Amino acid sequence: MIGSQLRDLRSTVNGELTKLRRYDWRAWFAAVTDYVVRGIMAGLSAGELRAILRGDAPTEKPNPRYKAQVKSFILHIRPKYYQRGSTWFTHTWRLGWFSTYFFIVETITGVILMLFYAPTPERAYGDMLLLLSNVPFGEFMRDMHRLGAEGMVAVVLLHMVRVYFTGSYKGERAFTWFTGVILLLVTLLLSFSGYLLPWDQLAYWAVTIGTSMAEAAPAIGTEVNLLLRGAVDIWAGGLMRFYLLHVLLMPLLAIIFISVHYYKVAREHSISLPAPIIEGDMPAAEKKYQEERIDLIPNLIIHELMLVAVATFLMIWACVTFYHAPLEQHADPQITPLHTMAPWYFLWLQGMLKLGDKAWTGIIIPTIIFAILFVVPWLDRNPLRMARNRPIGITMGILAVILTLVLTYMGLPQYGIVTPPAQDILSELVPMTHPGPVRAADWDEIETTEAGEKRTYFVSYPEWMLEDERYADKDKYVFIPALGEEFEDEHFAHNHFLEIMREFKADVESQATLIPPSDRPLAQVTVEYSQPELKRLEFKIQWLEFETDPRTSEVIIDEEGNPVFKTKLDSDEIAVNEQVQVVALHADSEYEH
Amino acid sequence: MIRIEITLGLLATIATVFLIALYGTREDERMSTRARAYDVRSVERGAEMYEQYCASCHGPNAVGGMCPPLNEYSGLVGGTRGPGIAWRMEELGLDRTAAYEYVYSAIDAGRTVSSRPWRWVGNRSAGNEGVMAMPAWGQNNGGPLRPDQMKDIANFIVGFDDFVPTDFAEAEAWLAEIQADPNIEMVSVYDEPGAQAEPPSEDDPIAYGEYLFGTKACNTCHAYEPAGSVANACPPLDGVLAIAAERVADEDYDGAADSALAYLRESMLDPGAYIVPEYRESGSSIMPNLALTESETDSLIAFLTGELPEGFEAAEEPEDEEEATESEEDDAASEDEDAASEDEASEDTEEDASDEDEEADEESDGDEEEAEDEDEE
Repeated sequence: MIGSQLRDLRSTVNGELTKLRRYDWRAWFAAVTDYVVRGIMAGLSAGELRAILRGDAPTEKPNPRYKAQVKSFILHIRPKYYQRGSTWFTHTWRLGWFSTYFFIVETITGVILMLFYAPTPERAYGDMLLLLSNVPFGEFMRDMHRLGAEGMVAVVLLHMVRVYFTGSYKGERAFTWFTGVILLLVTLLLSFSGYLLPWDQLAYWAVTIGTSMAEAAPAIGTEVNLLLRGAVDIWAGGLMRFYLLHVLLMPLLAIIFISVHYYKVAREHSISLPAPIIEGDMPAAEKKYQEERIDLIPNLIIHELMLVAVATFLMIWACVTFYHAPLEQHADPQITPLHTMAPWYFLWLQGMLKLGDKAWTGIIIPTIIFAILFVVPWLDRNPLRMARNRPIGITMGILAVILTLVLTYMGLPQYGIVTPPAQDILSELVPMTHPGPVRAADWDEIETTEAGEKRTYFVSYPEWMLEDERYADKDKYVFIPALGEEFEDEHFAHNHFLEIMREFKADVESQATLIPPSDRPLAQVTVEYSQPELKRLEFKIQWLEFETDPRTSEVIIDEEGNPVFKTKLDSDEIAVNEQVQVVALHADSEYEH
Repeated sequence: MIRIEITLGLLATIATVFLIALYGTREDERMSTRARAYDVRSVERGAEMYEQYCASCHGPNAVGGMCPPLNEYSGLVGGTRGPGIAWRMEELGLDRTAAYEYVYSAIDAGRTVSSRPWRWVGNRSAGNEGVMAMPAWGQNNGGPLRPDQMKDIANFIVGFDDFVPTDFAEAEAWLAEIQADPNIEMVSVYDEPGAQAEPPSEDDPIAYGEYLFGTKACNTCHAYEPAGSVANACPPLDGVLAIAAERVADEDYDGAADSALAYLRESMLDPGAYIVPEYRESGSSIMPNLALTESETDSLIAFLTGELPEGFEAAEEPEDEEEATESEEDDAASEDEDAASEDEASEDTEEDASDEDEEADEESDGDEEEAEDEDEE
């Protein structure tokens, strides 16, 4: 038996080989591929996909495209079609779509960033520094995340405004509006909780101010404050709670409510048709055209893919070129920076706080505002959506927008807050929170004399000092001329640091309340070497003040008609006020942004 | 329309890929520049914090004061304070590379006692022995500073090592060169690191006074030209006899002295008896009681005034070298320097000059004060 099988072996093998050679491998391969593709793409074949991307008609009957939306989880969430009118770009501006887009971008960048960050005060700031200097694409990821956050808040707000002005909250869309306002709150809280995580001065103080409003709530204020912060002040407890809010609770709520919100749009009432089509005097043929269906596959999907590509490109381009998220100094509860500012979307709240009592303007009125927002569809009894058919609604909307913008402006630090001029001027030259012009200047241009000696730049000084022999040494004493006059020394002409000094001079001399003393300079800067690569700069403003009547705030004049200077306590000696700021600058420091 | 959108989308995707690739090629350089920038910002912040927390004891730019200098400069180039961190590490037998840890732990935990109390009293002074010589700054030890702040300050302090060659033998050779250079002044033999000079005997009051001026740490607070000290935390001692005469005559004075010399004695033996008004509000501690003996007090006065106490005779001819220099306007209390005192006409002492040391000469000149030149060794 074996013998006969062995004898036949050669021919058996040959026979099998021939069968293999003659087998239609191409067809087999095509069949397998087709099977796999259809399995993944919910019944759409490769040829069908090609037709979709080309904009061609379906390749088989029955149309497999609609069926795909029944078979696929991801596709089943989308509508099968929209009416042409509701896809006008200028009707929706794709704002709702962009809200979701940004949420997805934030989730992806956020998950990547989570790898490099731990939410404890001991580690948080150090982790930020490492992220920016030690993780490849770390700065890029962070900037994308920040840009996406700003974009998401902006787009969600604009979406709400759009829906209001197109009246797309009425009738069956009322509940969708309601969930939308919830989503607005969730977005604002997502952004606010993320704001604290870098644990720098900007984050710490913005959030301290924000949460301090919670304390002002009547009856429950203290408990709410403790709940948010985990302690009376923000430190480890607050950071951990905000982190968990930011990466767990808020995203969960967002996903739930986005699902509820979008399900209504996709399944129940669709995107609204622009009101002119329904209520306006559009000719019937045009109306019919605008009511025609635009299929999700291929038209809307291709459009959305294009939007993804273009929007992502624009975001990446922005982050690579000009957009960089700031990082200030380590959070310090002992030092409040000048001009603390809420994030821009809360400036309106900061503006309101300047108007009155914290409990009213910080808690009660904003709660009322949001309560009104929630019930807008039920307050508005007018069933019509076209602008000219709802004068009251449109007017209220415009007023609300204007009011918000005004309040936002009032929230800026320049409004309503008076900073003493000397402190203000120095904080512009060498601010605490960002580099400022002096730190950004070229180190070599901030010239000084040899090590062990110091050079003094007299920025604003009484005339007699120019002639005084004590200050004749041109290496140690430099007198800054006014803008418009030339430096004596040619060498100084193109020095950018000295240009800054000239502006300093102009600033300090234009302040009416900074009265120059007659025996010393009003403003000066001394520069010396601390270490071979480290320069120490000391900015000093010394000024006199006039005595004023405490009741009328008028300057007191003496018998000869001269104003009286303020004197030291219990003394006749004129009081000289001083504002000093010391800054150290290293040769290798890099301060671009 | 679909074709246009597809084209646009594809172009955007390709552009994105290019952009990321371009960014990626520069990423290494960006990261290393940024890392260096952050290290350097740490030094800058450390320098700024130094001013706020450390300068009151360790002096501006770490030149030293009540407490040791932290820069290398003063120890090497003729300063009077003493060795800086590098020298200290060497003295202690520690590796120079451990300087950061050394400095950080000193900041964090402080120092309970001064390791060289004859030189640096630190925070402890007579009547105040309970406190730490250097306070603990770390939050874990009860102080105000966070770990990142202490790291910044330590980064700043170890940055002074740029002045010092890292090889200690090289540094010593360099120092020897400086000492041999006639153009560079070394103020006192007792400032040389490692010097084991015999202290002068009490038979030579002015020299002994100079020795005491250093070892009792007077030079860490008081400016006095012959000792080369420029500290301005406390009243300057140049022309002190004339100043003392004025103080005694001043209405404000409420101590027990009735003459300039008695005033000087009182200042040294009972510093709290009277504090000059300009220095009352300065916030720094008053002069500690140094528990001086009679002969120590005599020697110090001899050094300060240039006049030998009773019973001593001059050994050599005076060497008179004077130079008029300009003084700076910075010190608050240096206005009333000149009285009309003649130099030799003090009460019961003969006029002599010291062998090597200087003589305090007061001549009212109308504007400037004169400084003496010291000749050492």
